[in-house]
Amino acid sequence: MANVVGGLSSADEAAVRLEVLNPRGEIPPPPTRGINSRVSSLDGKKIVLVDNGKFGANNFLDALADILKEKYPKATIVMYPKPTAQTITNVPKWYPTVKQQGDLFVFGVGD
Amino acid sequence: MPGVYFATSEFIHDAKSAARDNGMPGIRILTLPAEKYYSARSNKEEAQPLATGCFEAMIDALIRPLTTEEANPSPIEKQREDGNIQVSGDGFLSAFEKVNELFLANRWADGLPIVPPTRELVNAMVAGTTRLPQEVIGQVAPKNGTATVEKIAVNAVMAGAKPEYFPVILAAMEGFTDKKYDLTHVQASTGSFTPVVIVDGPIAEELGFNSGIGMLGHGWRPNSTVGRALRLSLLNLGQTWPQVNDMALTGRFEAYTFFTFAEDTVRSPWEPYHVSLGYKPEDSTVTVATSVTSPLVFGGGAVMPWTGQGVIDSVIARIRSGGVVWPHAQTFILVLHPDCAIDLAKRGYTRKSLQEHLYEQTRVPYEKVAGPVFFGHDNEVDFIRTSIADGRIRPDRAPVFLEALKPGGRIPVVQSPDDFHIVVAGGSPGYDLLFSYPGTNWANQTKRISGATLTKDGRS
Repeated sequence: MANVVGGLSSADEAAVRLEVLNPRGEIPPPPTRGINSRVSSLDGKKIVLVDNGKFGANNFLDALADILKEKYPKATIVMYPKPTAQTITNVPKWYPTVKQQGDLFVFGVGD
Repeated sequence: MPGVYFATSEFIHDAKSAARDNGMPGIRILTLPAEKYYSARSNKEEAQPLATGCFEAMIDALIRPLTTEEANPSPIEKQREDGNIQVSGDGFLSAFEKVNELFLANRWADGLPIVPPTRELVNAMVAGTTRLPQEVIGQVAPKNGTATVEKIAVNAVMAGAKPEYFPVILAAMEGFTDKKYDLTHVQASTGSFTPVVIVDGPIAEELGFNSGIGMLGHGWRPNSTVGRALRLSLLNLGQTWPQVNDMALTGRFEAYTFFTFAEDTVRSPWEPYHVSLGYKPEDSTVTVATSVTSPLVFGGGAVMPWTGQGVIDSVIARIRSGGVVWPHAQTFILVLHPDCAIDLAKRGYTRKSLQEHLYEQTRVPYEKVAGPVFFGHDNEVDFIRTSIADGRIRPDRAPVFLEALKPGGRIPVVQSPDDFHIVVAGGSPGYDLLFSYPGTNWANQTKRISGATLTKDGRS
């Protein structure tokens, strides 16, 4: 005799067909946005190096800053640390302040 | 403002996934090799070769003109995965195994066998509530999947939960999807946050939740399967997976069931936790919180002498030894076993006076935080001042912190005494547990259980 759970057996008496529901749900699509246009050159620009607060990000960004100063002496480098490594509470209010610091940014390091 | 992001190779999937989830699939993200970055980042000299190696790619990302797709990305289609799935086997065992293999291959399961969520079983689960199957409970981070009553029921069946548990599970999911609960952080952070799920009120006893010896262990179906139902719901509806966008470095302690238990309101000398929050004693509630790693354990259990005051003094000493005042202070959940709570009550403590005592005694001397550089600020005092200025320390609590920021001052480690949440649970004998997470109450929600059809409690 076939074991039948949640469905009908096929022509073969021993065969079992289970019909199960998908545990995932819909994901409403987010509105899409393009990224900002690029600069044509870094000369004369203010480059904001945003330290995300994770251990060692400052050292990597400092090393990048040294190379930038050497290769682009006419650019200004601004170090701008995020106040906390955590993404909670009022930190979203901080992100718009990055724009006030310069012309383009480098953000790191996501870990 | 044009820019470029750096992420390590271990996080590049997470970064690109997050960019797409938030509608900006064109963000330029550069990869640093993880095996080199983590060992080189501790000083600038060691990081220099990495910086040199990625420099040209960074310049390219900053100046190369955008493609059409980067400037104007195609609309992202709604993702629907709501079809039924047919699985056949030579017999029941074969079909059962195929369901399990399929679910794990699709990253819909947690690695333990699941109960196949057939229509019959899901309908039976939904019958445990008066709520309609298509009612939306909320959106589940990080991918913002829609959690309907029915979809949560599918996951509850998979977990092996009984239909009478379902109203508890629904209330907990309301808590997780509340906008004030930072579920993204809990689901995705390297901090390996584990949810803490606490059931209060008469439904806990009616359903047979364990609040005594072994309450965080196995053997009690309500504790195990309610926790697992939530685990699977968050996994599937939030669409997370380890190493992709769930970056809990060690995995979570209690990864399969979370820390799920009930308060012992019978032996507690104080009002139940949910009553202290303003609910009626006859209400049943579920609180969803979180914890960094596993709890700290205090007390002597069955083998060492202890007193309630000794336990509290140990908790205070441990918190003070941490010495760090986070910018938004911390949140603590102190679970006292009933004998300890009773001993403290005999010493004159109420829940409120105990919270105030913990608040006062854990304050950190100004001199201890005035020195070290902290997260890019000159010192922790500067960090706290910034936190006050930008509102991360609440305006109504700012005067307390400002007053403490001077020689001789004592800085609180929580924003208010209420941020010490005190719950009574555990056996006799028992231990006392301290769960904690940095930040103030961003992962604490209590919801009333309602709509139950199969229990006396939790109906209205």
